[in-house]
Amino acid sequence: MSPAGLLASLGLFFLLAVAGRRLSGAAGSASRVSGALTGLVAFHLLVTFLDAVGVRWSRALLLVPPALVLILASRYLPRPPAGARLPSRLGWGDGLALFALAVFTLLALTAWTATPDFVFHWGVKGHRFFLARGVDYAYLAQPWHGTIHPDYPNLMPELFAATALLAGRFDVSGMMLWTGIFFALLLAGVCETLREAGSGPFYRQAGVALVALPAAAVGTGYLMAGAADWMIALAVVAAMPALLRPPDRAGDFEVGVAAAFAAASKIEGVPLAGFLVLVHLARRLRADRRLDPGAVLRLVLPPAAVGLPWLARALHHGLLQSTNSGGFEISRAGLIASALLEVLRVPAWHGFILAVLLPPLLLLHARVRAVAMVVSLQLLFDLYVYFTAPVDTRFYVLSSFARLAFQVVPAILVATVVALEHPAPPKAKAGGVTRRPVQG
Amino acid sequence: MRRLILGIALLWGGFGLLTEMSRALAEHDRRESWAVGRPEYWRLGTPEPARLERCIAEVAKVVPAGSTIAFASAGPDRSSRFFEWRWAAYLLPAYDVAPWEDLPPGWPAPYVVAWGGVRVRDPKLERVRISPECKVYRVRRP
Repeated sequence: MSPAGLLASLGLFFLLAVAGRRLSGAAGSASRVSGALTGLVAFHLLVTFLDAVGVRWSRALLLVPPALVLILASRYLPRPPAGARLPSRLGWGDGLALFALAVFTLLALTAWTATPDFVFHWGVKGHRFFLARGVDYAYLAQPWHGTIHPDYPNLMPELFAATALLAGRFDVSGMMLWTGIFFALLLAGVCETLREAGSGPFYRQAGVALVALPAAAVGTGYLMAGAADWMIALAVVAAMPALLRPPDRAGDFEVGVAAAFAAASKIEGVPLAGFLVLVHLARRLRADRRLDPGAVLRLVLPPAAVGLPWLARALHHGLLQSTNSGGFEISRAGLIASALLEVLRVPAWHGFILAVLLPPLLLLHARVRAVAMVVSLQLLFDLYVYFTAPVDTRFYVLSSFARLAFQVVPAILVATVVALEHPAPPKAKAGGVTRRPVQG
Repeated sequence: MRRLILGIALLWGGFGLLTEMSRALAEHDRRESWAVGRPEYWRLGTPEPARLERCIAEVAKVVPAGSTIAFASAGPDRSSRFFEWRWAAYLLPAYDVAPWEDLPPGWPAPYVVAWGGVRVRDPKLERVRISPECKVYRVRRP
């Protein structure tokens, strides 16, 4: 374990989070989680730009732009709206959540709970990008690399490479710390969501602990340190406060940034980005009876800025894999069902994976309907892939669904807590919310 | 009732975390004698990858960084050989490591690493380094 690696991860994260908060604040967002995601998305756009113009990454090129953004934004942009601060006195649920975060992160730092995929592709890509000082498309495009997901979006290996560049070497514990950071952001997102939902003290404490304990258990027992699934789970939770309140200017941006972060993180994040945008656009349309071009821009621009260059690069280098999709085969239904039943019994989940069955019930609850729609669409998309991908279906389900479920279960658990606390919203609040003037 | 449901879920979640934590700690304590044969279940810091790492250390002495290496292993089945190849690629980030058995026809991999006693017979190859478990070959120069 190298202190330089740990300091590099933490230092890079805090720089990006603080600079990102300035930018998201200018868009009217008070969310600190959204600010951090803005910084991470901006980092991804920066290195994508450097790769596009053929400039090799260096410490200065990675550090100076966010520092400049921070300085210029502090000088010329309005201060971000005051976000909720961490409570000065931690409750019992906060304590349990911090314990879970500490257990998961400390074990992750030993690399003992590292996901096998860190060895098979995430870590190799990060190390390779560090040595190449950029995303090494020639390496990804080698004909034998079809099995290591060369078409996946690269934010995680980019963060690994940047961390190694700052630390001077590729240190595994520094890479693993990123998962701890994403877990911490996920818990902060849960707190922001429950605050937005107006939850009382018991439900706030129970909600954050209810997400933290199973997430740490699965992350430890199912070996998920260094896995990008944390980022997808974080993206869904980061969008939740905006999806719980009436559509507004800040919410457009927050959902857009969450979608961009998802699209930059993993290939499942690309459809998720689409679902987040579609659901929020539908809410906008329902609230305003028209589509405000500014709202569309705030919502669509961030994921488009991430997704279009990714698609262009993947097409240009021939990275998209034929195994991603094929013809729909309904005859696989029995095979998929039996494999899913096996996955629902994965010991490390301790039964919490059954939360994937809750979205149909949550759809009935107006307050959390938008969130339920997003996670339902994502789960349906996962199922669609099982019906279409031209690979060994049973192996595919068994080897992936426990992780895919992890991408949505935290959001489902938080939505369930909100729905449990507010079981019967008054009729006057049809649509799930009290109407407020829509800004922007 | 709702609070009771949440309370039970929290207790169960706490039990789950403690179970996984104690299992992980116990396994971590036994990591130096961790004996899982199949490479898909190898973990960082256990003897099997360390054995491969010793072989890889030989490679770096004779193969220039940036070269393409074909990696052959003695895994009993295709799945084992696939994951051993991925481990080799992880341990050799400065090289393009290709799987020996899936090398495209005519592909010029100037070096071959054979690990775990596998025999690579090809008249085009000459051995440049041998250790008990690790042989490095180079394509003969004309």
